[in-house]
This record gives sequence, structure tokens and C-alpha cells, in this order.
Amino acid sequence: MKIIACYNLKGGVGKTAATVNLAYHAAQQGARTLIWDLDPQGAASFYFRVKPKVKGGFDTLLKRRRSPMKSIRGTDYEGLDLLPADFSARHIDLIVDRTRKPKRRLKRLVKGLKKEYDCVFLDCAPSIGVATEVLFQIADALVVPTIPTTLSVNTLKRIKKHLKGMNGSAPTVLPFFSMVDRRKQLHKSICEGEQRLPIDPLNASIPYSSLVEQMGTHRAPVSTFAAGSRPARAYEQLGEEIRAQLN
Amino acid sequence: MIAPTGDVGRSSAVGTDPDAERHYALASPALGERALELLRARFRTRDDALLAVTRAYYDTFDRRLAGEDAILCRTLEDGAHSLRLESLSGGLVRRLATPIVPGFAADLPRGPFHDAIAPLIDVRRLLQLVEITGSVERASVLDDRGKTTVRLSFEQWTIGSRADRIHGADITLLTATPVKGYGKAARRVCELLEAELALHPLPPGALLSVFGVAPQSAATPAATRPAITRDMRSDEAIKRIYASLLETIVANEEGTRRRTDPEFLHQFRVAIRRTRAGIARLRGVFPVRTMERFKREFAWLGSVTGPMRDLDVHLMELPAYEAALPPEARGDLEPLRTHLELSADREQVKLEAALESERYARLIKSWRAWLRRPVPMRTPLVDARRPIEQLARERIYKLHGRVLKRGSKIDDQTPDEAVHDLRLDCKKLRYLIEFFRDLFDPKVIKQQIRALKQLQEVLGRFNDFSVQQIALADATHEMAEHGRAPLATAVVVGRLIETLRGRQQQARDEVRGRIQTFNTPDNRARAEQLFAPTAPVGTE
Repeated sequence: MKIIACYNLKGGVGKTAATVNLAYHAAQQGARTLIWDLDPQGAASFYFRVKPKVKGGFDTLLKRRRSPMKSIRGTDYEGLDLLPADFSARHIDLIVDRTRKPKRRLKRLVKGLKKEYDCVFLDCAPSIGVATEVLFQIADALVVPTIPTTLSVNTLKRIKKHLKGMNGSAPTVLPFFSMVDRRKQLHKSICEGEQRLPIDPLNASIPYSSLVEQMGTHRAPVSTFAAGSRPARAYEQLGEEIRAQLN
Repeated sequence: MIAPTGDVGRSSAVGTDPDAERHYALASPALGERALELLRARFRTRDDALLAVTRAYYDTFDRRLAGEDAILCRTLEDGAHSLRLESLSGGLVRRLATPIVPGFAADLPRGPFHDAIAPLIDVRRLLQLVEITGSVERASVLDDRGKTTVRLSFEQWTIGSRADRIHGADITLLTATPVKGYGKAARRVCELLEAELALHPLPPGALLSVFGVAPQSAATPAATRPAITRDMRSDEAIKRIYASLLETIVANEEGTRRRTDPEFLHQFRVAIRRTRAGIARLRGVFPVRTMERFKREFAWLGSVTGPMRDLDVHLMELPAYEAALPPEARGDLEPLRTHLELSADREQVKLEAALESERYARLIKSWRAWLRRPVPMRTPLVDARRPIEQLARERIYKLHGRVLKRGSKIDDQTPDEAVHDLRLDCKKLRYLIEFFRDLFDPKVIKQQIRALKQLQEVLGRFNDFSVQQIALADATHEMAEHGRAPLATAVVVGRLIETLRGRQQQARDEVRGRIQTFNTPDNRARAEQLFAPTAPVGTE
């Protein structure tokens, strides 16, 4: 089982859109896939029309008082399940901080999912704290959507610096360009490598597209209502690249 | 065991999981319409699609998937093909959008779907069990957020492909599939259907039987052990052994001819080889002239079936070859696969011709007639009337001695031919012991076979790697002759041959140690106890 955390310190970078589309692609490829919505805003849960509620809250889940399997919901797509968001996750740092041996608990929790899933996508909240640190330690890859702007590049530097302290247990960091608008000079120049990124990005980039925004109205992955469109193909290409990186 | 992505199980009085998929066989299509109407009236539903669907179910001839509660289904829906690995007791395990027709595991694209199926079927070929065509009307039961909680499908099937609707027996099904985590909604739907329309769900795993697929097919047609006793006359006992081998040959003939699965040809050939080993090692029991003729004819049968088996083995080795190469070079093996497949198609034609030939028919007929003929009361052949136990011990003992002697002469400098000769002797010894294993103490004979097997394993490996190198070299040579050998392919094959040479050497280095392990005082004493002749050798 591979755990892929979708994360950026910065919000609004197309993180949930990436999680949803990448997970949908993985399921289409025959992987039994789970999305764990860790963002208290519950955007991923919203996209799949699943009630953003986990019985007992995040605390119960982490302390394994209740099997996560009981909270998992099937999406409308075969092979793709969702562990919904819960509003209690807004205190995730506090909960993790108060829990004894949170890393070990989280590892055990994830281990229980191993038999059921090949692929788990974590839709992480845009923050940096104890919780993210623990999540990074269980992830195989950290997929970082990055808007090609100077500020985003700086954020990537901070993430790299933060991960440096983790030594051996750090996941593979896989940044990719998100919401790329080729009409903008800055986007174009960064994407074309004129400004070197602290970590090499993946080849696939997601274009800025109204189709991605329409996911909110359709409440579905892009490929289901705009198959073959540019963003749909871009997400597929991105998914394949991540899979190749992890194998 | 395969776990479907169903909800956490709960058992009910009828023994069915209430959260698993339920199929209802309906008496008429009208009943299905009524059921949908009823559900539309009581729940929030959405009509999804009405599709023309073709489904074909696949498993290996020995039902390896069914043994793991699984089945593979190839569907054509809305112009798109996909493969679905399903749990027999209901529910999807994995799905892959691909137009590929199932065959061997290696035919599937690399990925989680391949990885789930490959260990289940191993080297077997997936065969179509049944094909059904029909129309599927899909609907969803929704919750107040518009989220699907139960998938419904109203299916009208005909057995057979669209072109050949032979059976004409129409089957109407209503299927309710709960979405994980929404078991309560599914239970309400099913309760309503069962209460208002008096529907009964099919028992779990019974879906395929509705389409006329028998729950289990005939098991592998491998050899059955002939009934022989210690004091049986040798000629009588040996005829029984040959007769059971003949049964195996005949049982695998059809599968070999139709190339259902490589296993049929393999079993076919093993039985031939055993028969030949028997004829060669159990001389003096039957008239020489009779046996000479059969020996010649079985040798012919062995030689005409050999090339196809070699190609089968080669094709089965391809995934291992690929794994030995770096990922970027794997595609370069494709021309080799194509070449091997073409050669196999050609060889199969020859093999079929051989099996349909007069010569083959005559051999089987005369061999069977001879086996059925009662053994003569009086015979000038001394060994014919000796108790089989005596003869068996004598022949095994002699061959065992030869294996030990040959083995003791082998060191790291001995030419490879001597190792090959030892391998062949070990093989014959193994066949002899297995012919007569019922005459010995089962526990002790098992230990003896195990010891021999360990020696055979390394000798087999040594031989396989050597054969593979030659076969690869031959294949590239042939490809070059036909102008089908791209440089990249020649390069990877060259690399593979190097790897195989290394592995062969590794096996060669192990040979001496294994011989020593086989030739321990314990093993020798056990062989002595088992096989040393009880009566003076060669006389009665």
C-alpha cells in the first residue's frame, strides 16, 4: 500500500482538486483507493457528497477506539472510497500533541487499511505543525501542488527545509505546477525552468482551467464530466508519473 | 482469500451478508419494471442509463480463481471494455479499463490489477466459461445529499454471444449493490423488495450457476495411482502402471490439441516420459520385440511434442526475463514475445497434425489393446512372474547405486555433460520410486523422495539455465533470419544470456554440495533399508 500525501503550506493551490482527480485516476487503473480527508473544511468530502462527519471525531479515530473501516464511505465510483473529514480535525495539532506516541498510533491505524487498499491519498490541511509532521512520517510521497509564482517557490523552500530535519523517515517530495496560466509571463518563465526550484518538479503540470472549478458544481472528478479535456489528461499524466516514482 | 470491497460483514439467519450485493432472479421482465417502480415511489432515485452489455466470465481450467472466491469478468458496456475481478460471494474487488482479452497473467498490463491476478492463476491461462449478452438498466438510490447509497441494475440476459444466441433462455435479474458505508439503505431496499414482491435473493456465489456454469470443473487430469500390491506378478503390476499413465495421456489429449492451457501438454508429456522410463528401466518382464516397437513409437511421440513444450516454457519464462531487466529495457523484449508466439502457433499446427495422424491413433490403440491383454500363465521370461516388490527393489537399488557412483565422481572440474547424465539418472530414479511408492513405508519413502528432490532441484536449475541460453540464442538467430530482430532486442537478449550464464554457474557451484547432502550415511542407510533386495538378485 502506498500513502500519498497531498500537501501545501499555502491554501488555494488546487490541493483537493489534485487529490480527488489523482485518486479517481488510481481507482480507474485498478488500484483500490482511499481518500482520507484531513482538511476540516471537508472539500474532498463535499466533492463526493459524503457527510463530513466521523463518529467520535478525529480523536476516536487516532486512538483507535473505533475501526476506521466503520467510517469509510464508498464514493459513487467503484474502487474509490473516502474516509470523510470531521470538523474536529481543525484541532488536529492539539489532538496529536495530547496523544501519547501519535506516530505509532497513526501507523497502526494505517496498517489496518493495508488489506483493503493499494493506495491511500491524504488530503492534508494547509498548515504546518505536529500533525503534519507525523503525517509526513507515514507517507511514501508528498505531492505538492505549486502555483508558479515567486511566493509559492519560497513556500517550497520552507517545506524542503522543514523536511530536512526528518532525516531518513522523510517522504519523497514530488512538487508539480498547478493552476498554470501560460498567458502570464511569470508562470511561463518559472515553468520553463528560468527560475530554479529547490526541488525538481514533475513533468506534468495542471493548467488553470474553468473545468477544474466546475468540479464544485458537478461534484465529481474532471474526467467524469470532461473526459479527454486538457486538465483531465494532465491529471492522468501526473498520476502515471507519481506511480512511476513510487515503484 | 480475496476480500471484496464490501462493508464489514454481519451474518444473518440465512447465512448471507446483509451488506453484500444481492441478486434476484425474476420470473418475468414485467416484475423487474414493477420493482423499479416500487423503489422509485418509496426512495429518492435516479435513473442512470440503459445500456447494451456483453459480459464474459473467465477462470482457469482448474478454477483457480473460484478456489479463492473470485471470478474475472470482461464487460463491454457503452462501447468500452473493462476487466473486473469480482468476489464470487458478491462485490467488486478490482476493475481495470482495458480492451485486453484475458489469457495469461503476462498479457495484462503491469499494475495493481495484474499483481492481484498473477499470484492466483500463476502460469495458467484464463479461459472463457460463459458469455452473456443483454440490456442493463441502471438506477441509483440516493440519500438527501444526492449521494448514491445503493446501485440498482435491472438486467435481461441471453446466454451466448450476440451472434449465436443458441440457448435462447432469457434470464432476468435485479441486482442491488450497496455502496460501502450505506448498508442500512441497502437493507431497506432489499426488505422492501422481499416483502412487497416476495422476491428471494440468490444464495451467495450462485450467480454463475444461473448462467449455466457448473460450480467446479473437472480437476487436473494428472495421473491416478494404480492399485498394485507387493506380491502381485511383475508383468501384471507394470501393466497397471502403464495403463494409468495411458489414462493420463488420453485425458490430456483434448486440452493439448486445443491448446486450452500449457498444463495439458505438460501432463501429456510427463506421462509419455514416465512410460518411456518404465519401458527402459523395467526390461526383462515383457518380450523384447514388443517393447522395442512401443519404445520407438513413444520416443517419436515425445519428440513431436517437445518443441511446443519448449516454446510454452519459454513464453512462461518471459515475465521472469523481463523482471531481470531494468524497467526501461523491458519493452525491447516485445519482438521476442511476438516471435515466440508466432513460432508457437506454427508448432501447434504440427502438434495437432501429429495427434490426428494415423501413427498416433495406431500407437494408442495397439498400446491399449496390449495392456488389456491378460498376462500369460506361462512365460519364458523369469522376471515376469516375480513378485513386483522384488523387482522394484532390485531395479531401484541398482539405479540408486548408479546415481551415487556418478555423483561421487563429480567435482567442480567435471565437464557439464557428466552433470547432465546425473540429472537424467536422478529423473529415472524418481520415476521408478514413484511408480512403486505404495509398496514401501509411506513415511520413509517420502523422506527418500524429498532427499532426491533436493538434489534434482539444483540439477534442474542448472539444466534449465543452460537450455534457456541456447533457446534464447536460437530465437534471436531465427528472428535475424526473418529480419525481425531489432538491435535493441538483440542487445537485451545478449544481456539476458549473460545473466543466465551467471545463474547456471551459480547452480553448478551448488551441485557438489547437494550431492554430498544426498550421499550422507543417513540417506544411504535409508536407501539400503528401503531398496536392498531381499531375495537373491535375478533368480527366483
